[in-house]
Amino acid sequence: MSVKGINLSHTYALHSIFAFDALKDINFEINDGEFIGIIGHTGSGKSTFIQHLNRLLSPTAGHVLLDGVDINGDGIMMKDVVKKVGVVFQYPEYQLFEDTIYKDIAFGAKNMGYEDIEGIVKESMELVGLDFEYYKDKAPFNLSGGQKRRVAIAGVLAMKPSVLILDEPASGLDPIGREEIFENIKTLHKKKNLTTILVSHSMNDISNIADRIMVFNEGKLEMFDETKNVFNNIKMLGNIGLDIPESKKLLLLLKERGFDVDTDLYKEDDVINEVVRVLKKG
Amino acid sequence: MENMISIQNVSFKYRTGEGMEDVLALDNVSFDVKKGDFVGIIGHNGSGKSTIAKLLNAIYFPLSGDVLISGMNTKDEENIWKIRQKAGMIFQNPDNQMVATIVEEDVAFGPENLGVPHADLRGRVDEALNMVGMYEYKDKKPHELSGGQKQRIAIAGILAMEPECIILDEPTAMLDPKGRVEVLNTIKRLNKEKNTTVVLITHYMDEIVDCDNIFIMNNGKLEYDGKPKDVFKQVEFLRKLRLEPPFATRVSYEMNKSGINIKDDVLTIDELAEEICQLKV
Amino acid sequence: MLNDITIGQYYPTGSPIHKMDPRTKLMMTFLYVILLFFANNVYSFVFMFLLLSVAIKVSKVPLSYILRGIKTIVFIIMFTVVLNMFMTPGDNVLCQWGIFKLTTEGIYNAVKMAIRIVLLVCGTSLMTLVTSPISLTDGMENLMGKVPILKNYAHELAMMMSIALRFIPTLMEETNRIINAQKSRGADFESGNLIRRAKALIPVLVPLFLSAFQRAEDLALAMEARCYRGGENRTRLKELKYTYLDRYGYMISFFMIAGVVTLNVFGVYLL
Repeated sequence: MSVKGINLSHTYALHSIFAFDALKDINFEINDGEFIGIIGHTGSGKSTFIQHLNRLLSPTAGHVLLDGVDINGDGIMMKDVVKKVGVVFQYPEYQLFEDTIYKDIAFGAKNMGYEDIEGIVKESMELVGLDFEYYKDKAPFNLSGGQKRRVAIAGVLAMKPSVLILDEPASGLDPIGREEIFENIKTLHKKKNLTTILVSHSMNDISNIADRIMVFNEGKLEMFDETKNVFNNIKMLGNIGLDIPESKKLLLLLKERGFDVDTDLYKEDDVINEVVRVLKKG
Repeated sequence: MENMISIQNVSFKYRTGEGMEDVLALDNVSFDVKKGDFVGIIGHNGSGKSTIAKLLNAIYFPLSGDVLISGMNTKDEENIWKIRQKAGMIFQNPDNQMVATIVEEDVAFGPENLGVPHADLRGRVDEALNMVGMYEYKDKKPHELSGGQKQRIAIAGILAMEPECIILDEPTAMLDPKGRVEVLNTIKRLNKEKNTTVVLITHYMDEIVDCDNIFIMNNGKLEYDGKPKDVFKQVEFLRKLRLEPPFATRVSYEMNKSGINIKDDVLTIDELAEEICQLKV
Repeated sequence: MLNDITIGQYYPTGSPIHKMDPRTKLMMTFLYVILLFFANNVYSFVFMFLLLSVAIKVSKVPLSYILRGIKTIVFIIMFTVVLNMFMTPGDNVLCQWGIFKLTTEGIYNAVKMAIRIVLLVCGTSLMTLVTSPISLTDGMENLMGKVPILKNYAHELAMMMSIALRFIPTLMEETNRIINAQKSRGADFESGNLIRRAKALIPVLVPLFLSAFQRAEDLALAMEARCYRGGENRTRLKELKYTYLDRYGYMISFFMIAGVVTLNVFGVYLL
């Protein structure tokens, strides 16, 4: 499903002395099946932005279109929107409330009025790598942090969205938990051809996974381009105070020292191969 | 040099409930931390590292063995408050350790509890706030601060108690990159300038590359006690313990694997770039 | 709606009222509330209204902040007004349906009640806006410590209050976050009858409680780690001290009592 924004703006506390422009005239188009990364500092407008994509907030000016249809248009219900755009917020384990994992995952599916709830729950659990029989009757509150998070993600998947938005899905997890979650998101994207939008502070995480990157700064969409090009715009990133991935930094350091490396690369495996290639050649 | 902390053959069990077997969280762990050192304790979730933090602060008591802070045993009840004053503790969630509604009053909370005379309180609070670079924020409310700033206030709150040692239990786990850097720089400066002993418990290896000493925990056991350099290069050993070595170390490891001989104990990319240059010559 | 609760929202401006000792402000507010219920005619109310207006002016707190408190209790005011209007017995009946009579006395009572509540809420809101929660609880602790029965609980109660105040913004933010998350899962808080709506709150309340318990546990641990062991032998960064401002405060208090008593008594003749 494609997501498009036209002159999207949002002002909090409009018409008051506290008025604050959180989003300023944002235009973008995300294609069906793309994997988009969103970067920016805390307070750059990232979370205001994603809340517009499933209508938790409505733009004070401009439009958000899903497959060409304005989600704030006449006759469109909130339910129609959240059905298509699933959002997994930061620390999503806080949204768990039922006494069994099954019931919690079924919550969204039931709200959407789906029929085969059990089938959907089962599929969602498999998608996040939780064994249905083993986990379905367990209480979500006794799980580890990473597992709770996967239950929460399954709860969103159970609504069968075409667009999946994840806000810092790995924050607070240990390195292994992080890796597992990202592996999971990657396979999900492949298997279901979900249009995926990932908000993350970690350049390393984003660089390994995103096709294109949106850079937010002070409510503006500073840049929206292929990952390679965004990381090549070091000056802009530096001005905003954002870092580039360590892998890319290494290539730049080597280039500086006269090595003939391809500095367009940024994925960890590619970078290692490149370093090895250049050294073996020389 | 004198030991700030000494953990001697400590075991600890969590009670999980009636009829269930208790979980052995620490299994005969021993190590020392010298005065003025900056040490890291690392391990994945459930490795026992947070249990150690709570033992050091006399929140838990060892099932067997002894925990000594500045020579005081945590088992002696009359030492408890002295120990907590000497070895201050910072927790993971920056929100859940602020008591007061105004920053400076929160910083004063510890010394107030110690009964520090009113005349000295102001000086202590101001000094602590300056030390963490948050003096201008003294009249702010907690919810007006970023996560990193809250954590620095929490550190100031401990500093105002004039401790000899600070124990930080995953202080950066909930922070953004900017907050992480703020907090890490603050504690590094404390260690250097005030010679405060620092125990940093974390699951990020790159936070402890320049520690004096590190302790690796796994399943309640101490797996490693030594310099970071000597262990970070053991990539397979670390991965077995579910730990991820820093990027530079990973690269040099992969390079060695594909037949390029390079120093295997590099910790930063600058170091790595230098080493690669050496190869070319 | 959650952002409209002004209680516990300190608004610092550095005015003389802000600098007054919290004990003075508490005593004055206490007196003000009592006098509000004692006031019985137009003149007394106008007098109270003027006092409040001056206090608001001096405090430099924007009026909109004070009025926000009213917005949340509009229903209570309306309910009281309606109840008073139709349930007050009186001779001057304007119209009547069954047991409900609209009388001039009723209207008079209703207006009086409405003014009383509005003045009450504005006055107490003002106090919380000009007194930092910490000094408010300090003041209460101090005043309660002087009352024999309350003495033993003074510190604990004050500590509980100050912690509650500290966590109000945190929990409000958290509530918003949970509501957003559940809305994104298709939860519907707006439609259906009362029972359905109450049920719809479960997905918000359960996580909120769980997280509040977690926070309480963490906080208890953090307080213990910072050597908290009750109120004994504690010193204070900010000790309460009466200044010349408080002398004015108590002078104004006497003026307030004298004014209301006089106007209550002589107001009858003025009418």
